[in-house]
Amino acid sequence: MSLKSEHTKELHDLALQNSRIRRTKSVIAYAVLGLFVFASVGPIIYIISPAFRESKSLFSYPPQWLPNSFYLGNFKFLLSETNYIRWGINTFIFATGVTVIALIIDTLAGYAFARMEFPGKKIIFGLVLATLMVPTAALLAPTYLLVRNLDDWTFGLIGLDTYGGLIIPMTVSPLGVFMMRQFIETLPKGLFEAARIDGASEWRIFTRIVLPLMKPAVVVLGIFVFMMQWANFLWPLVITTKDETRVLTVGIATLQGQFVTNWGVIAAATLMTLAPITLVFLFFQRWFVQASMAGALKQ
Amino acid sequence: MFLAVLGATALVVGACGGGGSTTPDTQAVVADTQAPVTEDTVAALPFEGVTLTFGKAPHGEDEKANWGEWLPEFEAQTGIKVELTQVPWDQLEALYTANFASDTPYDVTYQTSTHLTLFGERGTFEDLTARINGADFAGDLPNFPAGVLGASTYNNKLYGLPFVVGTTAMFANLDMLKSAGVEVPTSDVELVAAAKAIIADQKAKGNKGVLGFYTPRTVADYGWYFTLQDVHNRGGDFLSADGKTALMDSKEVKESAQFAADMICKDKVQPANGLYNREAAIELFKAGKLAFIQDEPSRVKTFEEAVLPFAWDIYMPVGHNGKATQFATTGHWAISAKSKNADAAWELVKFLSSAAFNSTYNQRYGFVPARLDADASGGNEKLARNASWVAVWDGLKTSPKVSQLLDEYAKALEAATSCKTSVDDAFASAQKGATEALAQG
Amino acid sequence: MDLVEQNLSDPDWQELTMSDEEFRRARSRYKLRALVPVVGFLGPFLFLWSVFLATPMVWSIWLSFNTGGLIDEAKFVGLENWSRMLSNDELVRSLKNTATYVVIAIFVVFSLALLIASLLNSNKRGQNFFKVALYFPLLVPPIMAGMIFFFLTHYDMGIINLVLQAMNQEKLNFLGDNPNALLTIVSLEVWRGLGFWVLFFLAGLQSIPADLIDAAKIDGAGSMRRFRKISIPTLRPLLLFAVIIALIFNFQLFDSVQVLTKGGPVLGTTSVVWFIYKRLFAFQDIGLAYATSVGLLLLVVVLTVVAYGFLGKKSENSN
Repeated sequence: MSLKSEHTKELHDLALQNSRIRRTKSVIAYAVLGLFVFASVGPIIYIISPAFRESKSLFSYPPQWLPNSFYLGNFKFLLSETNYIRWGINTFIFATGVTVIALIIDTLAGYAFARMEFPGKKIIFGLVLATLMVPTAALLAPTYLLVRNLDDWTFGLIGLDTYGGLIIPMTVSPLGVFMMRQFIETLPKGLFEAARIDGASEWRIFTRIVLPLMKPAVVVLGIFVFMMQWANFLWPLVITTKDETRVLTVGIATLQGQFVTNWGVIAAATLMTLAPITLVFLFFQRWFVQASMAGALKQ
Repeated sequence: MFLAVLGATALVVGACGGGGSTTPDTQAVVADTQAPVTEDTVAALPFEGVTLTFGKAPHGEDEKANWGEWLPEFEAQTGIKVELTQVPWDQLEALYTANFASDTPYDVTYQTSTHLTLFGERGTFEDLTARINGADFAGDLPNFPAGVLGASTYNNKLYGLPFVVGTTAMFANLDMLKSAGVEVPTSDVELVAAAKAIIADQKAKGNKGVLGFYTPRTVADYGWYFTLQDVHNRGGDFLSADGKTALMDSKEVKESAQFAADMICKDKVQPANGLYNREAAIELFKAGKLAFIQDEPSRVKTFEEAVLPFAWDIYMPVGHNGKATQFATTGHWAISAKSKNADAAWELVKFLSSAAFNSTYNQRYGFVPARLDADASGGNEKLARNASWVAVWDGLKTSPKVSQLLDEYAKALEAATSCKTSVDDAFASAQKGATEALAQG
Repeated sequence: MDLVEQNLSDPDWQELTMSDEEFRRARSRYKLRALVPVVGFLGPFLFLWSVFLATPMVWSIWLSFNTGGLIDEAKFVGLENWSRMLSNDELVRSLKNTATYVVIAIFVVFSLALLIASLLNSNKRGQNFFKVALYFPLLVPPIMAGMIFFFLTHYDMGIINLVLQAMNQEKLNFLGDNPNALLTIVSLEVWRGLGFWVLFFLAGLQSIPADLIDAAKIDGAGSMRRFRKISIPTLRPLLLFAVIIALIFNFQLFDSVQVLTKGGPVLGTTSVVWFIYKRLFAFQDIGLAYATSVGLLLLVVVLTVVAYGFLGKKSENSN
């Protein structure tokens, strides 16, 4: 055997060993990931089983992990005896409305805080951030009274039981502005200076340069805002007084009794709420993580 | 921006001012009610065209549908249109705080004893004393037990008309009692002995893990609701009769808590706090793993529907030294002080609290009617027996601080039954908190 | 030199020169004109912010010096609410619980999220599936999430106790014992929040330039070392934003306390916002509730500034 072939064999063995290590590593990695996925999704089974059961109780002895029957009464009840579809439509309009308006005002304000100079900038930004730290429950009643009185001033556009009253106060999110500012600050300064020297207006710079680069960040913020509002309970609770203007979270809560609750119905409602939001999420998730998004969050 | 803040502040201040400026209106409305109310109701629908808003937290998922059947009758009789809003129990106080702060609150709402004066004493509800003494209510008033009306009256003001009273019942697994050869207990001491005997008997028969007794003692499961009747049975209370002095560290309160703690920590006839919440314990009973459970009488329907595989019955919660009273809260119909249709609202309240409607409602939801001429049992012998206990009803007296005092009591009870804090320490701290709460405002 | 003098004597140039007064006026006009786009960009947000966030907040500060003021008339009481707040035992407990919760939750969530994100980053296959699956719990409404956790922690049927029982170990009392109850709440919040932070850190890891990692590989740095020496420093600015946001959100702990424990057992899980919520609505102690909210605001502002100073400086150094 020649020296050369001996070396080749040694290298070959090393490579084999390396790829084995790599394979073992990736097996371990996927095992760990699988465990986390199980922990994340597994508990949902606790909703599925009671949703398809005729019993009104959550628990039973002995435990039933899987539905033993395919009882659809809970779903039928929701669709025929409650305004479920209407709540769903309201929730969708509410969450979409807040998301669209929030994205517009947040990106604009983020741009101003990141790339424009004006007196008092730091102080205003600090004040805006500070309002992020007040518990939402504390602002509930004052905001309610405000909206209640805006009814006359806005010709009924912003008031009780209106989409305006439901949506507009929730569009103000210092978090969104913070996030957009952080993103725009990471864009190379040269881009802006070149455009300014060319005499481009701020609006032109914003729409032609900043917005296209910000697409991933806008999607991330959009999904985040949408999810938050989809799950929002307190504000829609106080600002809507009619069954037809309610959103899903509030509507479902009105199905709970003081002492006795039909958990089968609540579980079915939760499943029916999860389905559309999961679809929305699946649709948008391909934009969810793109390398440039990280820039959105960098100093 | 600062202009905007100023403008908005003006709006908010306007809101407060608006609240104040409605007071004369309200007085006018109250004055109106002093006048004799609609003698000739026959004369074609006196309230034609009036719309009332009605806020009610539900007792079941089907309540909305049921109101759809119940209200048209009233609407046809009076010409009043009722707009029902189902408000969720979850974060109910937040909703009502905002609603009552505005100048257009719900005209009629359902309020429990803990909320009735909490909101009422802040000027949100009309005092119904004049109305219930009016000629149009003369036939109804005698049907309301004095004790029930008394518990709902605060400083001679009645902010809501009692509709239902809560009670609690002890459910017993009769097969287990028979197997162990014990009688249904009639006192607290007998209960502990019976529970011990049953556990030993089941263990001997190879049935491990059978528990003796369960009733909630934690804050999360409203321990106070199930325990305070025992304080009353001992002749004490957590608050003095005039409502001015906290009695959290009184002998009776502490002895009652000590007994509850002993059942868990010493006698071991009740599982430790946190092992089973109320729902889990109900399922234990249904599965035949629990001998006695003290809970709401509304469970009678639950158990009958589930068809339990053993004989069971309901009893009065056992008393101390044979004395047994009933304790719980009252549900009321209240009229908003800012209501622009207070007279129409009173018509609705009269309808809601009528014997006929009360019976209909509670045949479905299983509460005890707050008037004696209503029969909600629907022929169910167990529910009829439960309803008869209203005779020894000694329920929660409403007062504006009662929520906070009950919170102090409940926290102390939970600590005392945790087997880690002494009863003395727990209730000394409750006494301190309650005294501070009473001194404030 | 000549050129300058020549220019200065040029009539055209002289005409363009303005007096001090003219210059000042022109300067302020220019400054005003420069503000026009600022108003255009910042205006919509700042207007809505001042109406719907700043105004209620100013009002809540005012209410912290009064009693009542929502349902009934406000009555000025000066600093009384503030002194009551400082001497409230339950608030002290709530603050302790919340602080413990914030520290544990941030530590656990961030370490798990970083671990999962780095695993996903180096194992690309099926990445989308994992991302969606891990994000899923955030879609479950809090009430139902609470119910799910009642099951998970059920004494007889909860999966953890079933495993413990199979291993002949003593079963756990999750919600009736301290510190178990607080840890259960931490796990509920970790379960709900993990997906968001995984996506967050994955985005960060994916932005690390590949050549940096390749260079480290050639130098023979192991994966742990690469993680410590390259990933962590690069992620530091991201961590700053994350810590600030996590601080703000976690200090608002409320949902899971309301659903799972109502503050118990024996005040083991009361949080500051739960404390505020009870006073504000259930007890109608408006003044104490608002004094506490403003106090919480001040505390979180201080913590944020400290976090900013601590992490912010380091990130500047590392850049």
